[in-house]
Amino acid sequence: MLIFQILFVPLMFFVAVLAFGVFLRKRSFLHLFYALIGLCGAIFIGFPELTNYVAKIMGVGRGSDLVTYIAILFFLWSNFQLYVRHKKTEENITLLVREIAIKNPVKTPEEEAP
Amino acid sequence: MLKSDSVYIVIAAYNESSRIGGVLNLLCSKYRNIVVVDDGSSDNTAEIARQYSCHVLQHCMNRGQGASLQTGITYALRRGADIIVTFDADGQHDMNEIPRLIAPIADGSMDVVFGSRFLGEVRNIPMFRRWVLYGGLIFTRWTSGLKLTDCHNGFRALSKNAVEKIRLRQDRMAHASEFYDWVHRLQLPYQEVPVTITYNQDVLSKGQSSWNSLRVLFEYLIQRLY
Repeated sequence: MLIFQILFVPLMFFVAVLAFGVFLRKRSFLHLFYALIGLCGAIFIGFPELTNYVAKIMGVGRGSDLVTYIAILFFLWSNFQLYVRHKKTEENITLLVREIAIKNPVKTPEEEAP
Repeated sequence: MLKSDSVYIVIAAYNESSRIGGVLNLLCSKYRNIVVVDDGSSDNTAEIARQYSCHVLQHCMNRGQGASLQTGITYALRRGADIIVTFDADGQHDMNEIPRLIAPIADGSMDVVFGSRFLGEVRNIPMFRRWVLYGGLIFTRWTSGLKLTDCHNGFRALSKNAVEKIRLRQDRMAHASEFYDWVHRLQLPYQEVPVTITYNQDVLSKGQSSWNSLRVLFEYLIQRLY
């Protein structure tokens, strides 16, 4: 077994177990998906020739190409998830800024006069 | 019966110190309830606005025109507004057209009235801006399903019934498209009335770049995905 496999198979397996634990606690299917990704990662790193087999079934050609395509898709998807989370945080900041503005209207010079 | 006290004019202003005074000077002579939302300006927009008899709210940080309008609308609603007019801070709208804009809401026949520069008059519009607006119009008609003649026109009037239901989530310029989506989704009765928009050098230099429409489109599409 290569050093890479010794390091990354347990790591991916650990990610899968962690994500599955969150799925069991929160019933979040997103985490079930993460667990599956981790498990697939562990299997493919442990048995790289399997990727060639799956790639052939899917008509991609080489296993490494398949892994690259999946990695790009996963990267785009996770980037979008982060963007959505960022936008939701922005929306919450706007709500806060709005309430502060409404509760503290700017005083006119007459209102400020002693 | 509609009371003039229940008509609120909401103005979103960002770094408009050179123009807000002129706009408020005219508006305050005719309308009692004007809400200026200073969107975290770095100049003295709020300071100038508070010299006039209007309500001035201040965002402690810049949140965008959509966020500012929603702030002004929420404030007006809490103060008992029956009709809310959104008006630009840069003087491109004609305040004499406000009665025409609010009339269909005042008589109870409409909930939303959009100003249309292409039914009315548009002065000094650059050719490129006109084509961008036509492109936006085709897209807006397709996405909203509304039969419009103009889009992204900030001169509009909304009834209390409409603003109680509409919640703008687009903080920045894409809020204009969001209005149309809400009208379609809620099946609110709407109408367009002719208005005059005047583009001058000042409006064009400080206003939205036509290229910014690509960013607006991106923000609008992304938000429809979640």
